[in-house]
Amino acid sequence: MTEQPDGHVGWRSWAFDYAVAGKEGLALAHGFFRGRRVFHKLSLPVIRVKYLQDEELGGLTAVLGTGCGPYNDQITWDPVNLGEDLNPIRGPHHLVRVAGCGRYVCIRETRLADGSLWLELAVYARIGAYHIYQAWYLNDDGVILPRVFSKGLSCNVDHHHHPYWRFDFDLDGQDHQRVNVFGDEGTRFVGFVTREGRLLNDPAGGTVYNIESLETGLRAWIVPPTPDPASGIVGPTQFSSVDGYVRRFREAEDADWPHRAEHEIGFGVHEGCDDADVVLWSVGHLFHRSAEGKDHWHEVGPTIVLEVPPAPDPPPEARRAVDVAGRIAIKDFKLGLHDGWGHFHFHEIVLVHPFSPHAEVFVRRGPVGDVSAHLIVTIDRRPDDSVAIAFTADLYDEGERVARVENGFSVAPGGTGNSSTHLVDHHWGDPDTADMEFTVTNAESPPGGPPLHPVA
Amino acid sequence: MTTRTEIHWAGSIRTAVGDGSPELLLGQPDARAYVVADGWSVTLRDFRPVSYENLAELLGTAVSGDVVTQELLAEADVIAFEHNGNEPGPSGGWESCDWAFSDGPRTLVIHWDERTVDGVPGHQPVPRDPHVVANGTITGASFGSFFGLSDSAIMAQNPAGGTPAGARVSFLLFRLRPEVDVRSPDLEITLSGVPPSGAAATPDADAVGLLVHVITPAATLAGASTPVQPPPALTTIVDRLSFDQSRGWPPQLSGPAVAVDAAPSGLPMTFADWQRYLAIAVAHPEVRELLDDTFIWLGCHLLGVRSEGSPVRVLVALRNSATGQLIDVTISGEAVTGVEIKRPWGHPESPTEMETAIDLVRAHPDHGRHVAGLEAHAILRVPDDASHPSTGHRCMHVMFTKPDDPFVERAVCYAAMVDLETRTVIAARRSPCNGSPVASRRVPGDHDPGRGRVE
Repeated sequence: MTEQPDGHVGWRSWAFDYAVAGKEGLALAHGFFRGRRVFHKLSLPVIRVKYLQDEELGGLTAVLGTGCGPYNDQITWDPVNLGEDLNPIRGPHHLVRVAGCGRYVCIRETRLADGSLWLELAVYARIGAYHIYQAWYLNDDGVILPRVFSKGLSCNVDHHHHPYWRFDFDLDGQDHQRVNVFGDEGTRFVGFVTREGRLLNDPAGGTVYNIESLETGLRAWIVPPTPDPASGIVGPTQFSSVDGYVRRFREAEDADWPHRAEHEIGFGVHEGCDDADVVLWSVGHLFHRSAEGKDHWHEVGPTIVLEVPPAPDPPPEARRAVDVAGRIAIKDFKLGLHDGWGHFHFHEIVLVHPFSPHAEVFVRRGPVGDVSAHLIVTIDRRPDDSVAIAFTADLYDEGERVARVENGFSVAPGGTGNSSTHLVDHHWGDPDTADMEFTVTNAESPPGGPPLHPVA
Repeated sequence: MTTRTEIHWAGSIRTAVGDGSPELLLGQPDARAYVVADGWSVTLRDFRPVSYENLAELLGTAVSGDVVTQELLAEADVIAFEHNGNEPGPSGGWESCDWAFSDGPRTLVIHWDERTVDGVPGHQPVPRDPHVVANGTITGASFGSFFGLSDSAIMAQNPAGGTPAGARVSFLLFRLRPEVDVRSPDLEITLSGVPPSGAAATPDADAVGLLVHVITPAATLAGASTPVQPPPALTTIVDRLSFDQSRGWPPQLSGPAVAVDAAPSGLPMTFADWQRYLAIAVAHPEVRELLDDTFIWLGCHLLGVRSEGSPVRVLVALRNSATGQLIDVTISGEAVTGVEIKRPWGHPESPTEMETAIDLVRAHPDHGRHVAGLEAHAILRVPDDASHPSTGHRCMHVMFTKPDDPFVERAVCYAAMVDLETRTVIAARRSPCNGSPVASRRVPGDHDPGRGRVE
């Protein structure tokens, strides 16, 4: 079975894509929370590593000095298995399947002792002698914890890891965003950022940032990690001298980390960035004392909290109850034998309105033999109360996606739309199929209808 | 404020008129010059970056003409160097010539005049075009040290100087903004010779580049400081989750976990897909020319896209194994949409490179016997010590540890640096790796016939 480097997750109030794409680690993209667009991409372009002693090549003596580095650690999709459990390129390789998950991108939910439920997406990367666990933890209250865990040594010297996260929030859209700075745990407004540049936290702690939509008031708070030297969480160093960086979104900067290992983040152009599409870099500083033993791993990362502002009850005609109903017929082809068949019906009603315009219906059916089918229907309300329907239909054979159809249509208020899709596996003379038919009805939501936040 | 400068040196010639060797203007300074005589000209394009620190300090050592400060340098968009033997032009720097800067729609023409008002060298220069930010001269010794050039190279170009300290290298700085878009990929610079105006007026031009000043200024804030009520979500913030340390590595939250279904949404990325994208990449004429039939395949990566519905984009990363040059090939759908030369650190260590480096150490007659039974790891290093022969090369820091243990952090028992371009082990050391805590130290090693003796 081949695991894909990207995919889509619908979990409680969340819907987003994930991908190990480019050289920026496990990224979350196109994120919605409670039916509202919240981010374009959250990623980790680099972890900079600095030892107390730099590498010394020893001139002509051929003796490595006691130090090493610095390094740019970058996580890419380089799994041991590239399909059918084979990778003809010999290794070592960067990505390791996560124990207990059996996947390279581990996606699981865990209920903690306090009853809280957390969604985890993580990858386990080997970079040199480092073991890096890069994770995103999310809960249903709108909290995201980006985390980097690290153990391992490139040389037996104390060192720092500095993860550079890039947060490209799109709060109810791309534009009209503002970065605000607060002190004293968010109880003192310091100012809003008018021109791009670096951010430094109060060394004593208490600095908090938020990005807000100036149009809707939707906010993403970013709380830097509390300094805790005993746990290795420290402040900036001469090598990694910033806690954050505010940038306007520029396509050219949505790219690889461009700097050599010795160099700090920096840019050639600095412009005004208020009321714009902004990107916030968040930089962690993790001190790691070299010691072979059981006190072996450390973690660092900020806390992101989404604050959804109170909204008035939408008028009745703007509350659209979208009824998605249909059936999926799956055929598991058996050469010379009776084919296996499965017939499945589904029916779901979701609500969209001006303050929660996005919803998704995720239908998984099967397996029939080793064949299964997925249908993802996304619903986006338009200002005229019509809904835009986009759907992706996938056919899987033993977990391998063997066919896909993507399409979309629009449904007017009070109207109905239909779709009929035929998927065939053309591989290996094994024509498994899935037939999907569904109907979407766009009606005014009756009083006492479905809950206000319909995602997933 | 930390500062460094990227200079995007001219990478190719669009046109040249006259004789001489205009190709000597390409790339970073190398103390080989194109003499720009009257009636000769060259148009440069394809500017490619190299990063420098303390460029302002170098230009601040000017022995004649303008002394450049960081602030002055930040004003400039273009830098050009020429060699002047033992004496700069009359106004302390470059000899007379004409410049034209074009971003496609717009062209800015600047005449540079070397003369002084009274004709006496070193006196007040004639009025300058306002786009000239600075004109000055540094010693060949400073120039050579900054750009990693040998004394013999400096003296070969400037024999009249007598010594590198006596040799003179002049610089010109221009500001083109806002008249010309200096970030335009279509930018071209034309340097033309002019008739003599009393002096020689034949610049010995070494290099021309665009300046990008990489800085990290503090963000600018507005608004008055005022007490506010934080939202309730901030008062009960969760910033540390509880992990079950007894389950070892990787970290696992303390509690029962269940898998969450996800819908794989990308195109298949099996090895067959990698091969298909590789074939598309290497069939492209520009890539073929850059690879010269020899390459290392660094990886094949999906690229994220901002707008849904766009064709899938893939990056094929390659390294010319003869030149060490990295080439990123962007493919959209099934077509090559971009070919970019990357700097040596532009891609993390690839499996093939790691394997090569590890095999070189294991097979080495001196180092191999120290690493038997140890687990090998490798990470990319690109040395930046200008005095070392491996500077700028993709090298692998290869480490050997005892086998992984999910409950223990392993120390490094043996380490070696492998230069992938020369395929040699260039340095090594042993380290104590039994017990805790550990401290690295230099220990006696063995002779590396290629590089001298391991202490």
